Amino acid sequence: MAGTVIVGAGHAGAQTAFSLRAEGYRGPITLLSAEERSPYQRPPLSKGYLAALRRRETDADDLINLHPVASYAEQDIALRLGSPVSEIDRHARRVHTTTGKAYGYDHLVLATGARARTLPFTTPRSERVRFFRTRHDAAAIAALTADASRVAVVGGGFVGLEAASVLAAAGAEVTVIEAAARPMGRGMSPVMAEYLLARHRARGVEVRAATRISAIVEDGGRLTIATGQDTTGPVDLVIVGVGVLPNDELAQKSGLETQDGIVVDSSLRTTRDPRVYAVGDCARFPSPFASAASVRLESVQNATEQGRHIAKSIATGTVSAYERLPWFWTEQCGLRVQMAGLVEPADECVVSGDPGQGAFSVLAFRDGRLAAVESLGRPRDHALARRLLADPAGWPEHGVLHGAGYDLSALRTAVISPATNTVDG
Amino acid sequence: MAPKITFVDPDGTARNVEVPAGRSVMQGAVAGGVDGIVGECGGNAMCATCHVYVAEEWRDRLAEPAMVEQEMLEFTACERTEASRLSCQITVTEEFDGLVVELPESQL
Repeated sequence: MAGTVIVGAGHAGAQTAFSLRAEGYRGPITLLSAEERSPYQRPPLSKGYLAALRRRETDADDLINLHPVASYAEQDIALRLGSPVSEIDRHARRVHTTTGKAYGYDHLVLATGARARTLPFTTPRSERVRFFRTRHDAAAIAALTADASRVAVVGGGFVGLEAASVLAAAGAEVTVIEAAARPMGRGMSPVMAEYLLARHRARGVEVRAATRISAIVEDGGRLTIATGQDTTGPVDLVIVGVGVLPNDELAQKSGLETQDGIVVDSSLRTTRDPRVYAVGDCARFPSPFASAASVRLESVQNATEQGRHIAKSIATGTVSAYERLPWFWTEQCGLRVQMAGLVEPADECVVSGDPGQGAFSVLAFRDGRLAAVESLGRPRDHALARRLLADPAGWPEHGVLHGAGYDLSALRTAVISPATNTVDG
Repeated sequence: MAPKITFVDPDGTARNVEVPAGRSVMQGAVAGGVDGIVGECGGNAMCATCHVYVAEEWRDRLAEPAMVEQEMLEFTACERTEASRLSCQITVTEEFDGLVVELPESQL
């Protein structure tokens, strides 16, 4: 038995390996990582880890380990660091690494993740122009901002605004530049995004939307950003967070179907080879929670739940559809927004609660049913939404919520079963 | 000497893990290889996979759970009781040496 080979040791890959053992899989497991360091968590990089590094906390690095370093050997998982895969030979069922090694497989799991998208022009070869994806990026940014008083963040997505928030809190003068009309336009409702942006501005962050940059120019260690007619800067540091691209070239080269990601069916198997799976940021899969035929999600929850799903498939030989509700969170300006489901631009959004009090939820309706909920300072709404939205066939009707004054708690008895979880109050 | 925390499996097996002050009980468990704690969201009270039952004699000595934790405790895979806490929200101090927490049957 050749066993299972997993390409990529981020959240999805590592989870697959450990879940295979948890599900009783006895075959060899090889986990190949292009990085040199033991697998680590990504969400803290732009949040707590960045802040901890800036405070020079010496144990910041230990805190982001995904699993204790010793646990791979304990679980008989062959973790191979510094092993980028160069080729998949699907005919021979073998992967080759750039280091000249080859690994045979019965099952191949592609968990290759995503990489930072670059800008459509040449950026200065300066260490002061940083992309934000790995712990190296976080460490470099923390070191550089120790004496950087002016920072420009290119890209107003979650990562960019989380970084802006941490740096502004540390006293830097921050300008965020976003090409789209509205920052966080992808994946967040306009009302929630506007609320957060107002908070950023109140803390002194300058947010420039609908602003395309055409060049970044370095002069004597300082950087100037050309934006159409005018410029931003000079600044000491430019952080670029303009989204990610899936690492799907390896799959494409081996003849697997790709389209902004590795295309898989509802059971997360690649469409052209049932022995090959894709999970996490690199996988494009059909989701009952989205209107589109398929989605690609960039979140820890998606990565780990998909890893568990295929581990079970492989270990037990059963095939089933992956249908887990997507959820996310972001931390900005000392606030946390919790999101359940996927908000889409065409959704009808209704505010529940009082934004003036810093406690409200945005209820997103699609085709007359509740499809997604964003909550700020209302963790109970998030908890309820996670249950209310778990099964798309049972999404609450708009009329029911309207009748309840858009109070999710009114639907509470319908979703909390005393048999499974006893709740006080 | 870092405070020692005892994790008790559902079958009664106890394991002591040293958790430096300032870390959360969840971080100590994950670093110490305690299988019964998942901590999927990295300690953000978002996933409720670090559920523990705090031993009775310790309950009053811990700070009251914040609202976020209270609400997320609705998500635990196993029954929530008066002893239930999310271990990512318990920050270890020197006084917690000897803290005993029991693990649920499942976190997922």
